[in-house]
Amino acid sequence: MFAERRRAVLAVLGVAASLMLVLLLRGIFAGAIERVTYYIRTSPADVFVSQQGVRTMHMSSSVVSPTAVEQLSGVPGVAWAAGIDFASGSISGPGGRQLSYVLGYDSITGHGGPTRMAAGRAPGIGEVVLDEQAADQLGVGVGDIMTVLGLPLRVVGLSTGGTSITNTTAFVDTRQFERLRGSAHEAHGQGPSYVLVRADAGVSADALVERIEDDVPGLTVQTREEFAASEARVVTDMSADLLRLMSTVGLLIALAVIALGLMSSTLNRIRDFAVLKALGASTARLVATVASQVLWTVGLAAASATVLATALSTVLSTLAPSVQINVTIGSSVQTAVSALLIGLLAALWPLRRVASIDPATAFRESR
Amino acid sequence: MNSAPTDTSPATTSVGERPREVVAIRGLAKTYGTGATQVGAVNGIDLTVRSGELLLIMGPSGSGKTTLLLMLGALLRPTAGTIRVRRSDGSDLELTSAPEKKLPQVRAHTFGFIFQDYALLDALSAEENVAVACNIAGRTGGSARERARMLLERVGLAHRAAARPSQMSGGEQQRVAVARALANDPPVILADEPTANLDAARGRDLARLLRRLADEDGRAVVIVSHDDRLREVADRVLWLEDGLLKELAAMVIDPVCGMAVERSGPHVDLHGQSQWFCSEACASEFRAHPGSYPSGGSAHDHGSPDLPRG
Repeated sequence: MFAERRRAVLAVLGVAASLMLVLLLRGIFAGAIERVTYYIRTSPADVFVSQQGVRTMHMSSSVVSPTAVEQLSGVPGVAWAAGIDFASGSISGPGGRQLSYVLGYDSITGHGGPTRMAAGRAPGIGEVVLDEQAADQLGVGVGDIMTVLGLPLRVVGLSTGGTSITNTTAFVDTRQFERLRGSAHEAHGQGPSYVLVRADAGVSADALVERIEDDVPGLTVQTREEFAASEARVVTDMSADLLRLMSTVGLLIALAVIALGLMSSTLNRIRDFAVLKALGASTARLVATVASQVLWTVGLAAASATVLATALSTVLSTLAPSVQINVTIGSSVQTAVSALLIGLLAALWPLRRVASIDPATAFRESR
Repeated sequence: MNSAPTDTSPATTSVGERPREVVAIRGLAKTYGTGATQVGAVNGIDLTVRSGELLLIMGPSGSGKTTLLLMLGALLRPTAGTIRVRRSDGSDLELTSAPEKKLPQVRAHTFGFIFQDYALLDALSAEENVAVACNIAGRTGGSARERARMLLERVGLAHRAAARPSQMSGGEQQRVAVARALANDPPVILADEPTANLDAARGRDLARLLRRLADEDGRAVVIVSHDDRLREVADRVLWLEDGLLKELAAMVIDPVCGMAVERSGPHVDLHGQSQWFCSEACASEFRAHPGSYPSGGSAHDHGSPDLPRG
């Protein structure tokens, strides 16, 4: 096949296109996970405390005792503890509507607020800080009025990194959050949703988790990394079937391309294989030739797909900033290994055909 | 046409070298099918081919020529009989008892094959086609390419080394096929209708080339063909019909249908000469219109072992 450059290039490109599709799907999913967990991963808190049995923010409802913050602040090794309020709902502006995490935090201390501000200042009563990408999509800027959980608020600042393909993040002051909570008819009680805890210097997060579990029972206590992993897992679980389906479709396309390419090239070359066998080429040698053809096709296609997917992810992220595509080495290797397996699967029929060719058929005129 | 199997020795030898027995076939038979549908393609053939000999096997379509060639080339297992081949290293090999998995190696080191339609790989250049055969025989890399170039030069195609089969004439392609057949330096070359797709001039060129391979290299060249032109360069011409071999020198041509026939069937005596026929039908046709057929064709001798070489 590789002596026929056009056929080889088409086969490699066909496989590369389907592998690129798989890589992009996985990259989009990985990017979404990174964005969804951005707030947790970049938080200065080392430990996240939630209602007993609640391990995530996404698709969860958590309320802790109003005294929890004070109790946690008294645990040895705690630098500070800050409650945050959490709700998910709709925000809207002139440009449209979007699902959003709405976080209430103490804007005086700043604990639990946005990790980085792109513009403006912390919110007060009647104000909101919105992620800059969401602000762009909703058509609002600093000084504009938008609707958050049904109430009009003025945008006073823009944060970064909190908008994913599925939702965004908005920050309000805890006092404002109480009003929003009333607006959303959510009866969470008086306590905060979660408590963020910062460890003293020299105190590990794991050790602090153990101390809190001992000193303040009845809560779920996780390190930042555990909390982020739980959050990622719930998103993954929700999307895993879809992702698997799409990846399977992509890999099946790759399988079809490899199989069809190999079958057509093998069928076109049956006489050649017979001639080579008649000349003394062993079946093992010819099988190895076909197998190496598969390996080269998949290898070149995987490399091409990685390059193309990386380039395309850069372009797509520029055109649609809310879409983050993470094409990782791990994902590329995983896709290449999957492609290799399906390539060998696709080669089974041609290999069997080549193995069964009778060399005597070389003496039948075919042209 | 059911005479006893013939085993004849070659009339000529390689220059400066005593001819040695390269192929010895004894009682070779091949039948296809079973019971009522059983057909005997080759029916107990004895044959010896010596080094430097060019043996031409002729016969009507379906006579078993290709079956015989396939068995000789270790591409088809006979039903009965033995084929002993002397290899380049002087050792003898009994093909029919060789294990199946050894046969590719036997072919790669013992036989050179030439096909009717050249059977070159379209995607490869002339040099690559020959080099592939060198690879199969065990040469690799630069050594294979160097030998391929040398062999192309020998067949007069050094200047066409980079050309693909589609860019070459039929004669050129068949010469590349000859070069490929020499890639493994085989003691035996087997050619199946090598001139069938060539015009008269190119057919003669190829015949001379095959003759040279026998003379200069001392190779045994076995050709199965319908092409009369090849008789000019053959040391022996055998006729294969009904799965049996006969010396064509002992046969005559039926003036009506042109078939080679033995002097044992229907015949007509005319003007003191005997005409022999394949069947009563041809004999009757001749009797009805004797002027329509060459009368001097009585007892034509064909395939004399003493024919001059081309």
